[in-house]
Amino acid sequence: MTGPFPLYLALAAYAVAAVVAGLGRGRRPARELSYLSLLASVSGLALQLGFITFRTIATGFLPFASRFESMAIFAFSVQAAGFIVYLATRQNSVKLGTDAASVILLVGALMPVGFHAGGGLNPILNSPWFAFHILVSFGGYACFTVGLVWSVARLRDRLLDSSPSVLRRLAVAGLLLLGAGIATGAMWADSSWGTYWAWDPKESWALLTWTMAMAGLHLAGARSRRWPAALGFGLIFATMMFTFIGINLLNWGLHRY
Amino acid sequence: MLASALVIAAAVASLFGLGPVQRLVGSAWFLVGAGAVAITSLLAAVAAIKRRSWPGAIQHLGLVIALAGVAVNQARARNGYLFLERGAGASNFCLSSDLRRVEELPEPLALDSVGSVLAKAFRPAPVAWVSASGGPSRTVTYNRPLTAAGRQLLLSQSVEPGFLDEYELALDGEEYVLMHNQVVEPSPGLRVWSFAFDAAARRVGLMLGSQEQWLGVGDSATVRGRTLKLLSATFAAHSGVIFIVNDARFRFIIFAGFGLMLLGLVPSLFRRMEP
Repeated sequence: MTGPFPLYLALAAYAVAAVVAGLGRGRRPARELSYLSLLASVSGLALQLGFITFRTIATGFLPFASRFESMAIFAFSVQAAGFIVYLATRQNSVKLGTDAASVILLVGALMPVGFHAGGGLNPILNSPWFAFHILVSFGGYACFTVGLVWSVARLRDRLLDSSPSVLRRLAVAGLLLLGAGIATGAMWADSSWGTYWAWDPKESWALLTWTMAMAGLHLAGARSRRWPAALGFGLIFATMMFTFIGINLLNWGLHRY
Repeated sequence: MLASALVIAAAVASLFGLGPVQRLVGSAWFLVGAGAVAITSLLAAVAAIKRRSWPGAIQHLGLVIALAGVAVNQARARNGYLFLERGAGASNFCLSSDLRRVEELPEPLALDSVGSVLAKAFRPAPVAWVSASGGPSRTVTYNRPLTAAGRQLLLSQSVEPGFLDEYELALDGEEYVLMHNQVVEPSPGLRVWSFAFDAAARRVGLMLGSQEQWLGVGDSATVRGRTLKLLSATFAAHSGVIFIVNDARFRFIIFAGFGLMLLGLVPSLFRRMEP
C-alpha cells in the first residue's frame, strides 16, 4: 500500500468516473450514471487516502515531499474539490473535466521519474507548518483548477449558467486557501529561514497567482462573461502550474529539498 | 492592477536570482508603487465603509495594515548574527545584518550545550540548548527558534573549535565586521568573503572578486585599485553555534494585516446570486 499500486487503481477509478460523467453529460435524468460516477470518484479518493495513510505510517512523514507525492496530492485535491462542486451542482460536464484533470495529474505523478521511498529528508521539513502549508496550498490550486474546468465547460454548456455564483465562489475559495498557504509558508520561513519573505521564485510566483486571482475578482464584478472568465482562469492556472512544476524543474530558488 | 504589476515585476526578477529581485524591490519606483497601492487601498476601505460594505473595508484595511507592517519591519527591525561558544559564558553582542556594526541584545544569552537530533525519515539536525539571563536551558533546533525579549534566535549551524567566528576588514576607510562565508559587496560587482581560514597561522583566505588572497592580521591587499586591510580575526576556542537573530517585535502587524484580508474574503463564499 506504500508503493504506487493504489494510485494506479485510483487512476482507473477516476478514468471510469470521467467516462461515466461524459456519458451523463446533457442528460438531466441520469441518476444511475451520476451515482456510478460518484462511486468511482469515492473509490479513487479512498484509495489515495489509504495510500497517504499507509505511506505516512511507513516513512514517518506525510508523503507530500517529492514530485511524485505532490502531484498525487494535487490530483487528490482536484478530485475532492470537483466532487464537492458536483454534489452541489450536479453538472456532469464539470465532473468530466475534473475527473480528466485528476487522471492527467496522476499520470504525471506516476511517470517513472522522482519516485522516492522516503527517508533522508531535510530537517527543515520536520515542522508542524508542513502539513497545513501544503494542504491549504493544494486546496487553493484545486479550486483554481475546478474554476478553469467550469469556465471552459461553460463556453459550450449553457446549463452551467443556472449556477452563476459557482465561479466566483471557486475563485474566492482559491484565494482563501492559497492565501492561507502563503501566510503559513511565510510563518514557517520566519522560523526556519529567518525571514518571512525572501522573494524566492516559488513564493514570488505563488503571490503572483494570488494577486492575479484577486485582480480577476476585482475585474469580473458580480457576474463574469464566458470568454473573459475562461481566459482569466486559464492565466491563473498557467501561473499556478509554473509555480508548482516549472520552478522546480528549472531548479530555481530555496524550495529544493 | 498596480499591485499585480509590482508582483509581476518582482516574480520575473526573482527568476534571475536574489540580487536582481532585492535591487528591484528596494528601488525607489517599487517603493513608490507599494505606497500608491497602500493609499488607493486606504481610499477603497474608506469608500467601502461609507457604503457599509464591511467585508470590502476589512479586506482593504488588511492590505494597508500588512503594507504598513512591512514598512515598520524594514525601518525598525534590528536583525543580526550571533556566535555563542559552549562554556564561554553569556554574551549579549551580535553582528548587525548590514555587517557594519556590533549591536547589543536586550538580554545576555549563553550556550549550555550542543548536540544532534535524529527523527525518523529526516537527516540528523543540530540542536542547541540556550539559556537567557541565567534562566532555564531551552532547546533550539531548525524550526524551533528561541524567542527572548522580542528577539528570535534561529539555529544556523554548529561549528568546531578554531572556527573563524569574526573578522574585521577595512576598505578605503569603510569597515566591515563579518563571520566566515558572509558576503559583502563594497562596490557593485566586487564581492568579498572568506572562503577558508587557518586558525594555527591566524590567517584568513579571502575571495576578492575573482581573486583569492590569504591575509594575516594587519596585512593589506589591493583589489581594483582599492586597498583592503584585515584589521582583526577571532577564532573560536571551543565548539559553538551560529544563530540568526531576528527582531520579531513587529512581525505580527504583517500577519495580522494579511489575516484580515483573508477574513474579509470569507463572506463572499456565502453570498448567493440568482440565476
